[in-house]
Amino acid sequence: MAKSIRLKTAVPGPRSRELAVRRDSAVPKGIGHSTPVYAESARGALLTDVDGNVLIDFAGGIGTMNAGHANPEVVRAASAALEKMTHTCFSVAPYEAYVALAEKLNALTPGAFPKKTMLTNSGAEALENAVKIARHATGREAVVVFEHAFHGRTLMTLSMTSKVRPYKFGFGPFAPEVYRLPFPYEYRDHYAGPEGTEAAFDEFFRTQVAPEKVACVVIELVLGEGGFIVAPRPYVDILARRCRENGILLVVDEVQTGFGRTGRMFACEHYGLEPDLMAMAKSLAGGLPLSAITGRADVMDSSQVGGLGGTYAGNPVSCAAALAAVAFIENNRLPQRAAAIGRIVEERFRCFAERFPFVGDARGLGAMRALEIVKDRATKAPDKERTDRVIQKAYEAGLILVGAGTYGNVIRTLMPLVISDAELSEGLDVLEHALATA
Amino acid sequence: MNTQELIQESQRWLDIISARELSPEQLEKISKDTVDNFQFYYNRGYLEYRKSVVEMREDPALEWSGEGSTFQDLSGRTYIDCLGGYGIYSAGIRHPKVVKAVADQLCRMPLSSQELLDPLRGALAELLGEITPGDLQYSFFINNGTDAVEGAIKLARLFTGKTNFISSLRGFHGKSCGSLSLLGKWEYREPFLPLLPGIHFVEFGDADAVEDELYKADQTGKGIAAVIMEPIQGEAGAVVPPDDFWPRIRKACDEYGSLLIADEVQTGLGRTGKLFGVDHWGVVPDIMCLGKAIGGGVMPLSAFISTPKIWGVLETNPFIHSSTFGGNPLACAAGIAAINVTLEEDLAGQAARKGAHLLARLIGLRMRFDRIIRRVGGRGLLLGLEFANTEVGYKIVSGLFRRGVLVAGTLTNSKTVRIEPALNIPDKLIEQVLDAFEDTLREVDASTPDIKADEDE
Repeated sequence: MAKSIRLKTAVPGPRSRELAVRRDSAVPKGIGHSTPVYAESARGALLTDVDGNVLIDFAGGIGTMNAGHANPEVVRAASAALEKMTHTCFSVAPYEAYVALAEKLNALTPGAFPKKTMLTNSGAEALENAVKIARHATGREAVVVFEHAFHGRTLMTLSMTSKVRPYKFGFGPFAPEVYRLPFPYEYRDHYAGPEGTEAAFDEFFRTQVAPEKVACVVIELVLGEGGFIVAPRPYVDILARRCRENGILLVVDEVQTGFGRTGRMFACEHYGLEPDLMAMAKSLAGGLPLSAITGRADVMDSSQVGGLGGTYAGNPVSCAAALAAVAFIENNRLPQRAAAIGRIVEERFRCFAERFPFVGDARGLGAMRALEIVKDRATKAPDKERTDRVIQKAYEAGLILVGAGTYGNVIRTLMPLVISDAELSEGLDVLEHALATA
Repeated sequence: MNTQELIQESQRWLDIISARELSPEQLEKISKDTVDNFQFYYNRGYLEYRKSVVEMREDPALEWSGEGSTFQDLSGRTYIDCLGGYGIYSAGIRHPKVVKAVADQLCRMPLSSQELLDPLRGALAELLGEITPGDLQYSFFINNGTDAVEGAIKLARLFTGKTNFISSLRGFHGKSCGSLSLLGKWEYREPFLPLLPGIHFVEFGDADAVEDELYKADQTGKGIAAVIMEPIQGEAGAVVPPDDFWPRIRKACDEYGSLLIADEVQTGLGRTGKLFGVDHWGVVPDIMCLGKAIGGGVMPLSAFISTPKIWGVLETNPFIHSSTFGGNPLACAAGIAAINVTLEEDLAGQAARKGAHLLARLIGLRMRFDRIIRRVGGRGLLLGLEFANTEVGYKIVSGLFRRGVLVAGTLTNSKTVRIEPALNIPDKLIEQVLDAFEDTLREVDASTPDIKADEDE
């Protein structure tokens, strides 16, 4: 079978290197790049750089590309919307696409209760608004989050984000009334089973914050940036019950897990969970900037008129793209495809774990899979250096990957779910070779 | 002219030099006289090739006054100087500190007796010994870059007892017979052959080739006295070598008992964004040649600098190499001021920052006008552009000239041009240079439907 990866130059090639010079002069150092090839175009799961190299993309714009790069239906819908109008601002002159997308998300998300949806621009903005809504609806201030969480880079969401370097260092002081629970990280023995979890919650509410002061708990059911750590079902059950008992709203951050990535439309479905509020972004609009908060109608309606909104929030072109992207994901059964991809990757990752002693853990949910790289299986000491080398080697051989994890020692897969079996297999071969040689 | 007329003619020029203002009639006469004098007494060849004459047939541009990053011609037109005599104006034109130092010294003592010790020579040597990397410590002063290379050649032979050298293709080291022998371009060499024997040329940046030549010379004869390279090739178009080049040739020279000469005449004193070009790779050469900017843009000054161990061979008989004007107090005053200004104004840091911006923007222009500009490169404010061919290159440099921006490039040699503004050039002048570039490129792009790339490489 013909290979998909075609490298005409060493990567980054000369034109990418030239653009890097311009980038260094024009763009702040603080923005990093995992793989500095400059993109010229992308289709499906393949990315062509400015030197004409074709690479397989296992990063998918950090999970925005579930429906594939430049999905033709998304492009068509967005182009048609763009021809009609670029923007009016929903707070000034509303339009149907916003309403239609809200209706769609109300129906699509778990929970057989009346729901409402507001639209925003980014994952961080969705989480910001989720906190605002939860505080207003409960009249409480405290927000409970988790170790290893990533919720964004704006001040409130950065306060909620866990990893200090590079995300938080030097950017404080952070917002008050944010409390942090350990995440049930099984590989590193931070999950104490159901009984231990009950005790931990008791201790938390005794020593950290009174439950009646907590507006919401915000959780990623599968940590994204934190390293694709899957929360155990019993833990989530207990968490949901504790929230219910104490009038705390449960906010699920489905920014990275949503829209099919985990093998279901939303990760909540694996847990039979019906959250009070859900934040969505990334693959929602097929690559256009758009995010959403969907939640219980009474909670969503609590805020005064004018209390919520945003100039660009729910832009009509992005709404049209989202309607097309969600339809594409449903019509092409991408959640099922993600589950199938996940089984293929899981099998290969299990082989990697057998072959390479430095693969400490192979885990994930659906197509959201990860390898945790360690120096020693006994001590589980994270090996960020080797992880970086693997990503570098893979990239030099034509596979785009991104790392993850608080210790920077996790390799994660976020390939577009339209990837073919051949492309998937070729990408995994490259990854295996990179593991063997890094 | 008889004696009386000669006295009158010279007095007329002395009056012009001292004049505060010149009348329109005087200006017109100076312009006409200058063209005539070049034609009949200097070299009419310049009139055929310089764009300052070719582009302004009726009113040729005559250099008259300057300050900082700009100068004026006799007709009052202002130019942004991005050529700077190929790098002499790192501190800008007429930097007040340099001018003051030289003027003050001029009023005291202009040249040296060659018998008494002179303090400024010692002071400049001390400062250079301190700012140069590693164990480089002792200096000798002369007047041109080529003199520095000549001295380095003699010192390398004297210390190693070996004869031969390795240099680079397209490398530039000067046009006197010794340094010309090391210069890697046939145009300048061919009429003057034979030059020094035993010079081996390699591709610039090819460490394998240097190692190979050292090995072969070692196996077949006395070996190589020295390897001479520019840290970044200047005349060749600001060519930056691979990062392992300098560390590897340093190691190879040590292995074979050959010296490493860094020709920093153009790259030295901040031009490339570090104080010295070799600082980009943390390499310490055995001999460093300096020139151009070391005179502060006011005086001709050059130097070769080496280590106490190597200098020992000059100490037994210090007159084995000497120079009448080398290290004169005016030049040394300029050199001391140049070092002061370079450090005080962080000219190297300014070059790094401004150069990164300028390079990025030039790459952007190359991407937009890629049939005109073939390559953009360099580091700091030693930048080079290679055009598709000489003809289109000349159109660009003359278009820039008409827009008041001076870069190198003549009718016969405009395929590769350098941009070397003052290191303290104000940011807004850089923007003006870029605007002029963009404007010129657009004009040449629209007016030149067919551009054939030269097939010369």
